[in-house]
Amino acid sequence: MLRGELVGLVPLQSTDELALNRWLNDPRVRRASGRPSWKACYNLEQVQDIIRDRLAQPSRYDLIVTETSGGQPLGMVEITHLHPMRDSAQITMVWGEKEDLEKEVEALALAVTYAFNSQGLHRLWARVPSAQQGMVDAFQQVGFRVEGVLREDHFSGGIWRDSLLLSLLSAEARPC
Amino acid sequence: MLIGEKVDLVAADRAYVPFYTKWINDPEVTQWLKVDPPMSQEMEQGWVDGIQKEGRMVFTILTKDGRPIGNTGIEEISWRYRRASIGIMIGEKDHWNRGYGSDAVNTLLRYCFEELGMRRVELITDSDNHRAQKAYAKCGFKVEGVMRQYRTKNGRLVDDVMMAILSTDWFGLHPPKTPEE
Repeated sequence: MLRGELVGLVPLQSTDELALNRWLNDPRVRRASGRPSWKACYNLEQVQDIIRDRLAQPSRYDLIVTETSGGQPLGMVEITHLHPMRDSAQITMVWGEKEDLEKEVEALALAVTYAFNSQGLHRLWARVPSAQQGMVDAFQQVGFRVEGVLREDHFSGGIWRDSLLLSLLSAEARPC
Repeated sequence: MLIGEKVDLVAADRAYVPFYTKWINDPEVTQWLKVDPPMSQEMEQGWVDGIQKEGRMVFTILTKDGRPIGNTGIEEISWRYRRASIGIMIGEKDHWNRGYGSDAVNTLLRYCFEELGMRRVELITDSDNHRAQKAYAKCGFKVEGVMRQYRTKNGRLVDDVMMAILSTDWFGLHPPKTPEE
């Protein structure tokens, strides 16, 4: 477990199915995610399939964010697009419970430290819906910089919306 | 088959593997690409076999007299948000700078916007590859950002450029034809 003051990160496992099922079916979480791959709703069996599928993929790490006091699952950090010949990856955070910038920032910082220090990556990048200011703030507080604006790359609330392309290099990361 | 003005695009096939292997192992061809040679013929066959499973569309670019000169393709397709990424490689160097690549990209974009109903098509290209960026801009792509130190080339970290074209950009350049036309 990667432990911070407020939150920790543990690898995704099959017993996380109930939390994941709740998040994937929560309209607020779905809106915030800007994720094309998410279906309208999921049953528990489908969530179990998702977890099995993710655990079988060597090109990704899924880390569950848990509260340090009590161990309640709060969200998930995904590090994807990993490739043995490259040292950059995409990072995404799904925050399943009530928004809490301090905890979100700490979860991201722990994941960044893990990616750079333990996995030897040198670049992390994120694609965050521009309208999700809270999530953008969390990434920027960890040190991510805006690299570009991806025009109309997702549909939400009846209109096409932009996403921000953000990145952090290992040399820029603050120690966690 | 997708029909262009100078080229046709056909599905990638095991029959073309000797060409794929030659192209992917030519450092001049791959200097701007995010690929990891050396590749054996068996590895290239495995790549062709895996295309369907991975939900990508890969086309071999043929000249009008049927000569394979490169590959292009669509990946990271999101049907929900109607967006995708594309890539291209012209492997036959005697066909560089002669409009074959641009025609292949335009043919692929026509398919994306006019047949698949895509809303956004994006690509990533080397920041030093100004010739390609100019060619993509001519096709309607706009620069949206610079991805710092996105990949390693010759032991050096290099930036890449994110470019994208929206369906509104495409139809602004290529207005839909009326039935009489």
